[in-house]
Amino acid sequence: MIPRSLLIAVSVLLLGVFGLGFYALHLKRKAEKQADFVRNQPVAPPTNAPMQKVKLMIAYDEPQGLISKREVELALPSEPQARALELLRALVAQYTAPGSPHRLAEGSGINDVFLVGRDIAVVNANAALADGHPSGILVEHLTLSSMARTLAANIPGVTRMKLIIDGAERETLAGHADLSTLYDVPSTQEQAKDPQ
Amino acid sequence: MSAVVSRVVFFLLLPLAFSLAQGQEGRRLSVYTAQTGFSLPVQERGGTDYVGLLEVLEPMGPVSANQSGNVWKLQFRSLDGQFDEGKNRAQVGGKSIDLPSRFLIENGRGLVPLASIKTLVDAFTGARTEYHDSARRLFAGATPVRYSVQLQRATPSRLVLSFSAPVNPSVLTEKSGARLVFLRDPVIAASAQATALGDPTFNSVTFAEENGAARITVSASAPLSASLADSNRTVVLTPQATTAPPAQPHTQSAVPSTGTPQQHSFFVLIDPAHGGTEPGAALSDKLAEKDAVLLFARRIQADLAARGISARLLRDTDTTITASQRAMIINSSRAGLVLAIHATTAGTGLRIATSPLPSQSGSVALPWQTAQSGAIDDSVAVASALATELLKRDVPTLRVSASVPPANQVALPFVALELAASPKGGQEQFSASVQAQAISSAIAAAIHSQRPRLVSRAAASSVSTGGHSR
Repeated sequence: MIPRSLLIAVSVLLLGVFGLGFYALHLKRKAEKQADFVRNQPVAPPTNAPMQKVKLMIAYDEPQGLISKREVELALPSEPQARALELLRALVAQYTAPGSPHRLAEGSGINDVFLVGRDIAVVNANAALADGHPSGILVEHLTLSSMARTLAANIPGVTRMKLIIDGAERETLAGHADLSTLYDVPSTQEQAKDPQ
Repeated sequence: MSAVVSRVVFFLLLPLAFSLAQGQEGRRLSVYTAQTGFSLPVQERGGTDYVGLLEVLEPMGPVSANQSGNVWKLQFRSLDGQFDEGKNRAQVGGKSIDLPSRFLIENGRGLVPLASIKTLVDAFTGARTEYHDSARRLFAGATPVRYSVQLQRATPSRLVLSFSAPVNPSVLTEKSGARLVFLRDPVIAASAQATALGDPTFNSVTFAEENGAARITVSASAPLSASLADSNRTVVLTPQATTAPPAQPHTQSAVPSTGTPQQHSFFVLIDPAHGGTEPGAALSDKLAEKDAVLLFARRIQADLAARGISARLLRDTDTTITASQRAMIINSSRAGLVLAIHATTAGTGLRIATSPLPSQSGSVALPWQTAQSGAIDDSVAVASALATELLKRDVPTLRVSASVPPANQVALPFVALELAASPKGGQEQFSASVQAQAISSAIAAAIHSQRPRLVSRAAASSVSTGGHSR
C-alpha cells in the first residue's frame, strides 16, 4: 500500500516536470522564431563605403498606385552589381518597415542582382518576398515597377529587369504579375503616375 | 491480421469511391432567364443534390445574403427570405415553404435541395418557372428556343436547323453524324423528339436533354460539318468532304466554316481569373478571389445581355485552368473581346490593365509570347472606353500597362479588370455591393460603345484566316 502523501507528492512533482518541459519548449520555439526574423532581415549596406545620394522609386498603394522619387543617403560600393544589390535591399527595407506605403512581408529580401549584357538586371529575390506578397494586379506591378525604376535611375544602362525567386523562375509574383517576361523600364514607367 | 483486412477492404472500396466521385463530377443545373443562361455546379450532400441559392438568383436581380449563427437571410429585390441550418422549412416573403431536405450552410453559402429550386425561385421572383427535373434545366423567364428541321436534297444534301432565336452550340463531330450541345441556350424539343429523314446521307435528328444541356444528335452516314448563318439562328450541316481526313470521334470544336466565308458572331468572352486549386487573393475570411470574380463575371454577363451583347464565361465552375490553357481556349474561341476579371481588397474602384507589348498590327504571324502585339491597339481602345465610362460615373479608375497572364499570349483584344473592394462578409455582400453593380453596368456600356470597332476587327480577322478558328 503506497501512502497517500507519497502519491500526492509524486503527482505534484510530475506535474511540475511536465509544466517546466512545456515552458522550455515554448521558450525554444520563441527563440527560434526570433532568430529566423533576425536572419531574414535585409543586410545593412557596408559601412566602409562612401555615403552617396541615391534615388529610390517608392511605390504608394494609396491613392491609386503612385510611384514617388525619394532621395536617400546610402553607403554604396562602386561596383555596379554590388551597388544594384544594395539599392534594392534598401528599397525592400523601406517596404518591410512599419508604416510602409507599400507593405511587403517581413523577411522579404533580395539575395542577388546580376547585370547581364549592357541593359538587363536579373534580380534574385527570396521566397519570403514572393510568398508573402499581397495579391493583386496593381500591387504586384508596383513592386516590379518600383524595383525596375530604382535600378534604371541609379545604374546607367539598365533598361530591362527580370525577377526570379530563390534562383528559379516563377510564373507570377503572387498570381497576377507575369514573371516570365523581361520588364521593360520605359513601359513600367507608364504604369503609375509620378507626382513629381 | 486486422491491418491486412483493413487494407483489403480499402483497396476493394477504392475503385468504387473513385467511380462514384467520377460520376458526381461535372453535374450541373442550367438556368435560363430572359437576359442570359448560365450553369451552376450541383453538389451532393448525404445523397441529396444541393445548389447554392444565391448563385441561382444572383444573375436575375439585386440580391444579398447574410449569415447570423445558424440563420441565413437572403434578400432578393424587396423580398426577404430566412433559412435555418438543418431545418426543412423556410420563410419567403412571410410565407412558409417546405423543403424536401435540410437547408445547409457551407462557408457562408446557403445550399438548398435541388428539388426545391423551382418552388424557391418562383417564390422569390414571383414568376412561374418551368423545371425539367431529369435534365436539371430551369426556365426562369427565358423564351424557349424552338427549332425546325429542313432537309435540302442536293448533291450533297444539306440539313438546315432553324432556331427561333440565336444559339451558340458546341459541335461534336462523330464518325456517323454530329452532336450539337446547347448549354446556355433554352433550346427545347421540336414537335417530335426524333425525326426520321429517310435520306442516304442524313438518317435522323434526335433531341435529348441531360445534365443541364440540350442535345441534338444528327445521325448520318458520314461525319458532318456545321456552320452558323442568319445571325446564329441557323445551323447548316453538310457531309465533310471525302478528301478531308476523317474526323476524330468525340472531338469538340468551335463551329467551323464549310468553305463559304462564315458570318461572324460577336461575343465577349469573360474569364473569371483563378479557380480550383488556385484561389487568388483572400478578400475576406469567407471570400476568395476566385469566387468573387465568378459572381462578378456573371453580373457583367447579365448586363451585357441586357444590351444585346452575347457573353460567355471561360469557366462557370470552380475549376483549375492554367495560364497556358486559358490562352489556348481564348485564342481558339473567336471572341470579339476578352475580359479577365480579378479582385483585390486594396484600394477602391477599378483597375484596367492592358499588355505593355508594342503594337505590331500589320504582322501576319507573331510569336506565342507576344501574340497580344497584334491586338494591342484594340485592347487599348477598349480600355480607354472603359475608363471614360467609369469616370463619367465617378468610379475611381486607374489604367495600368501590365503583363497579367495570359495577356501576352492572347491574339484577341484583351483587357484585365481588377475590382478593388473590401467586402465585410462573404460573397453575398461582395456581389450585391452597389459599387460592383455600378461598375458592371459601366463595363457593359463601354463595350457596347466599342462594339462596331470590335465587330469589324473580328470580321477582318475572320476573312484573313479563311473563316477558320485560330
